[in-house]
Amino acid sequence: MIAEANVTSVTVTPQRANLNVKGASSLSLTWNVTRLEPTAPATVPVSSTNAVLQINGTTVANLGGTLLKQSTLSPAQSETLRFSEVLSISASLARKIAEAPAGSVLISRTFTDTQTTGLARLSVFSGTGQGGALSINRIDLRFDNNARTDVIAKGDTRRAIAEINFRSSGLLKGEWRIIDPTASLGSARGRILQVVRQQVVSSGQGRTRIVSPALPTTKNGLYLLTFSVENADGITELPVLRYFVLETSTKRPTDNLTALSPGNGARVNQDTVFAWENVPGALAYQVEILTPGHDEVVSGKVVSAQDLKLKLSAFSLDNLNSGESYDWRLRAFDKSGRVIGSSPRQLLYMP
Amino acid sequence: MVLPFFCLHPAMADWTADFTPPETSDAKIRIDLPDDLDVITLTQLGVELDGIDITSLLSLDGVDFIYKPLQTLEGNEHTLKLVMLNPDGSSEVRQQWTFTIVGDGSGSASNLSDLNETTPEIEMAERLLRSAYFRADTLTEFSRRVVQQNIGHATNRSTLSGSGDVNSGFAAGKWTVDGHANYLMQSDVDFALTERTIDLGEYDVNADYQGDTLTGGFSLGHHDTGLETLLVSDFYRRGVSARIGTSDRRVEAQGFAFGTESVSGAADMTGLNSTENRLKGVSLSVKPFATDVDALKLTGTYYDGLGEGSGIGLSDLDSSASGSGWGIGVEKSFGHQRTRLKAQYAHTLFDQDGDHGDAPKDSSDAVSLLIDHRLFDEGPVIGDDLLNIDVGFGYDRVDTFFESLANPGMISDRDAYTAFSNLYWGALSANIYALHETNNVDGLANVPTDRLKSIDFGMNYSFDQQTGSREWLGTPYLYMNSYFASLGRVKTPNGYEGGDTDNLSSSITLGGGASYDVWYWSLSHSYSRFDDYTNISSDTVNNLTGLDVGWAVSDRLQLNGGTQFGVFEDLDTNKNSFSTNLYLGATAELVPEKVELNFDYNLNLANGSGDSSDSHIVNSEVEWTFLRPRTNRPGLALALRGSMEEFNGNADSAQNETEYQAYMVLRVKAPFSLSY
Repeated sequence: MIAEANVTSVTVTPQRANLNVKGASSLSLTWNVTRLEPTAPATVPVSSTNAVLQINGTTVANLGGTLLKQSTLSPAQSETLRFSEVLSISASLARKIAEAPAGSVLISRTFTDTQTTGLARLSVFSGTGQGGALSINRIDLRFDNNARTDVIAKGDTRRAIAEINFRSSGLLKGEWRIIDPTASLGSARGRILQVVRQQVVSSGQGRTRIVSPALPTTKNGLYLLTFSVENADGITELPVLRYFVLETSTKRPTDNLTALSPGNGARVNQDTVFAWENVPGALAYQVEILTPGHDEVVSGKVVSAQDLKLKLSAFSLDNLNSGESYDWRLRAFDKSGRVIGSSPRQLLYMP
Repeated sequence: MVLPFFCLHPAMADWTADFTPPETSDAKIRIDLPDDLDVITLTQLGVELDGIDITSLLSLDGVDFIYKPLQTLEGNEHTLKLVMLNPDGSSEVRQQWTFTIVGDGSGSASNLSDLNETTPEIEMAERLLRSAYFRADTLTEFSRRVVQQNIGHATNRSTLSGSGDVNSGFAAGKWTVDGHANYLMQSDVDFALTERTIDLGEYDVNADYQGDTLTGGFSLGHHDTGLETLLVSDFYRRGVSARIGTSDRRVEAQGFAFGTESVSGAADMTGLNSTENRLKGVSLSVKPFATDVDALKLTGTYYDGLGEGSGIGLSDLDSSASGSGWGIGVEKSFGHQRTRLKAQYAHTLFDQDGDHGDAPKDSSDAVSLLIDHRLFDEGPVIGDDLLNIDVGFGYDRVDTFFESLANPGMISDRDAYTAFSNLYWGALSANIYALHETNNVDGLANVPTDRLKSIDFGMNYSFDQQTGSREWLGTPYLYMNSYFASLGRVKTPNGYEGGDTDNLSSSITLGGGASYDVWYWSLSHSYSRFDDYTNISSDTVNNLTGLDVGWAVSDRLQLNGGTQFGVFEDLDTNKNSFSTNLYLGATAELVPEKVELNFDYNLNLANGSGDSSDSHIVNSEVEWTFLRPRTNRPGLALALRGSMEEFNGNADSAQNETEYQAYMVLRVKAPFSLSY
């Protein structure tokens, strides 16, 4: 005698889903199949061959694989079977979904217990981020000299930069984490160098730049640095920067000194203030005015590290030709005469 | 050796100063002033060395000026000026001296025009070779783990590791060639940079030619093209490029080929081995009418190539993409760059899953316009400080599927208007930036159009060095950054049920600090709030406070520390999480030039609804240098270093764990340097 079981309902969570317009996406779904056994006890398979993506009623693609569970029920007993899956949406499908009329895209699954069937479907839309929440889709790490593998002089000032692309808006929760040379590379979990909490917004796609604190350079050896962040579900492996600290007799200057004023292209006179941010370990700061595109210093001024701003003297301005433009930069020196800070070149004009 | 040269200006008034040239290239410079020089005159004097005003670093020995150069003086001619500052703000050079430092006795360069066919080849080569240098800093460590507890998977008990940084170059005739490379070594290849025990990290070689009419050169290894366009930007990769142009920069051309992935190691020296990750391109800039600073400049760029991850670096797109594009840019300024205009257009063909994928190849456009203007030709002086204000406007329209393999991370799908202003008044700088941006530029049917309106405001101020009762404040500074952003829906397609957009974000960061003598400190606090009026996401508030302090107790002891305390509040669920981080560090020279100690302690606490293990981490190293390295003579040091990590799971005692490890390390430090 054949049991007359019934699939009484099939539901899916979520009932609506947002997919990224660009690129491949993954979609986590949970199907709930409820069935009732009205007559004799029996064990039957409950299954679904695949999910179906339809646009305007036309099947565009079959997604996922077979879902199967055995169901054993006594008479008058019912149960709900839960099937979870992650569907992969290719870039081309995402594109078709984005271009389809709103409301016309459905993903459905039909479940059968060999005697009856049930179907559930969800509506699929395109939008900014999946579910509208902040999602990180790219992290590019580098040092402030653009390198990704570097050898740094002991005591030098170096920072890392994380270029982060994201979708939607929200609070970016991240941490700069570092493994010191005192620990074995494979075992240490590392320590938090700095916690980052930054509110980020975009109309769809956004980008932000996060600069690390000055990296530790007091101990010889290899350091590993990464920027870990929440909501980076699509990123399978975080990038890691390596830098080795050693005592050097020479070094290459880096653009790690932040000039606050004047602005790029400013006209310079005795009232122009050159201001900058502190560089730990500096003994003196030097403003250098150079011929454009070259390293020839034509004028400038040096002050002790207790000053974070200066004005040029009249005789320094006398070194400049009226009507000409010059490059200028800042450099910081430590007590050993090493250049421990340098600012990017900017333009100024001598009226 | 130092050669006193000559004295240009004898006494112009009733007194003269004498200059005693430094005896060595790193010795102090002394200007002997008359013993009876009055104090008022003394305060009106300034000193300039090689164009740099060094007055504020002069010290007085009686009434003599003493200056200790920050760096060793280079082996060539130097000029020292003694300047009188007049009350009306003008100045006059009172005396000027020129002296020559001959670094290693090799003498100064001769004039190349002296060379002729009869000059012996070796002499010709020596004189063509204007300068050459080779510098290498290396460190090699043999480590033996002597103690360990619960450290799980680790490197081998004994390892050989190290690194080096090499710089070399020469200048010959009109050519200058510079090279740089570094390497990493790790005998346990599971933890090596690549699969090799020792391998190249990054390197670059640059050759530049500076002729009378032409300039040019080429680069190999890790470098950037220097282009900042819609197609090529922030693109630092391993590759090759060549450039040529006229000396007046009227015409500049560049060709380049790069790998699209960031690579290390010597296996792919050019970065171009993989045909699936490679792009090539050209750029040409022309100033058709003039070469002055305001001249019109036209730039054309073209590229094509293949790359992984749709060319956007580390991302969730793992397919191989193909792309090409061309673009043109126009730059023009007026009034010595008082007003600057920049316009760009680019067109791309981009297939995000490659030529063999199902996704279509997109043909997309991008436009960018920018104008900025300095309000004052000669800014007003207010309170002794010059005021300058810049204003600017921009417009960017980037199609939804615009991508360039050579501009990874560019934000596409935006139609944005921006307005900004920068203010500079003495040590005060401030900026404001307003943005109006919409998405769905391609008008996709199943995509809503959202609008972002935001305002950013920031300012910095540096005080003068404090004196008197406020001297302890040193040289303080303050800064503030804030923004306010509203995101809303402009257009919802009929039948769209994918959720609404209506939220408000705001953030403000206040900070400041000071450096005083041997102290520095900085303090900041950030407040961020997110309100989602659609209730798709939780409303949240985040507060984060940070404090950093440093104290150079003496030349042999430096202390520093910092703390961060954060509170994250989920206003919908009323769940809060707290995070506390503390760092304390010390560097001490226990025995001068012999024994050095490094120590740091780190505390990470996370509790509340985001509860996780607390961790205490201690790192320490004691290094005994028994043979101090000198240039071209290796040094030896023995170190004991280790770390301890303690985790406290609080309610979950299963997470309680203490891990520690200690190593004996033998270090070889070998700096090399040669120069011509």
